[in-house]
Amino acid sequence: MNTPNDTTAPRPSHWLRAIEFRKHQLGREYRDTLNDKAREGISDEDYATTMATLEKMALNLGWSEDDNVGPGGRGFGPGFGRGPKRGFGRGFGPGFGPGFGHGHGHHDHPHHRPENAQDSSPAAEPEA
Amino acid sequence: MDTPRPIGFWLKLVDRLIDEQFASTLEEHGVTRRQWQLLNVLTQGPATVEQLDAAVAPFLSGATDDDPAETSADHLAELLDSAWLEDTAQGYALTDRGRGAFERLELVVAAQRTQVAEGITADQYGQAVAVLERMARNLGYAG
Repeated sequence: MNTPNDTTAPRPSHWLRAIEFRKHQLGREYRDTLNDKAREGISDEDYATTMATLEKMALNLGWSEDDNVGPGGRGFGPGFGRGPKRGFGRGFGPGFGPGFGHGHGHHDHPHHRPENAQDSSPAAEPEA
Repeated sequence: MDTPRPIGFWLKLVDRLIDEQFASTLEEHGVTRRQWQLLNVLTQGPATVEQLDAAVAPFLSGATDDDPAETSADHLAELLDSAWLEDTAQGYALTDRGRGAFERLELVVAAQRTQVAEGITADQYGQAVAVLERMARNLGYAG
């Protein structure tokens, strides 16, 4: 039986590292499997077009190769990846303030959200 | 860049960038992206919360230890307060005011989409969307 003073048996840190290592490996295998599954029935050409289109969209949206930021927006310094902030008194911007056709001030927009409200929605709209 | 980035990189990046740009644009007009999505669905006709939840299912957060699952109802109150929506026997419905606001928002969003797709042909765009749909369905998406 292992004891803390047993110098021959592996230490807990050994197994902790082993667990992390296997978790990493399994995660990688899982991702590879998912990637293969996702690509089923898609030609290399279509896949390449999709990659190129996504890259072009990213460039159009202001991304640059020089951006020191990962795809999830976590960068290495200030100024990258703004988070949505709401409830700071906007909503009277172009289009919905008085004079844009309704002119009822607050009641022409629904922007009365609480501080810290988050919106983590992804890209596409559910088009009809 | 010698090693091509995996498609997951581009998916995540474009998703985030579009999300940020949409959030910023819509915020200027006083609506959230989720509200915009719900308005979009309601242009097709009245809908119940359950129907709205189904329509925007991929965008709703699941329950966590601390919070219950997100539902469309969380985003409707402001739209009702602002008289953009009304609660009818058939479900939530756009009012004239809501429809007008939506139409104006639509112009802003359309301009933004045009900008995002600049330099991309309709064929390339359509092909990319078809591939992305295929990938989602390959992974079990059934919506």
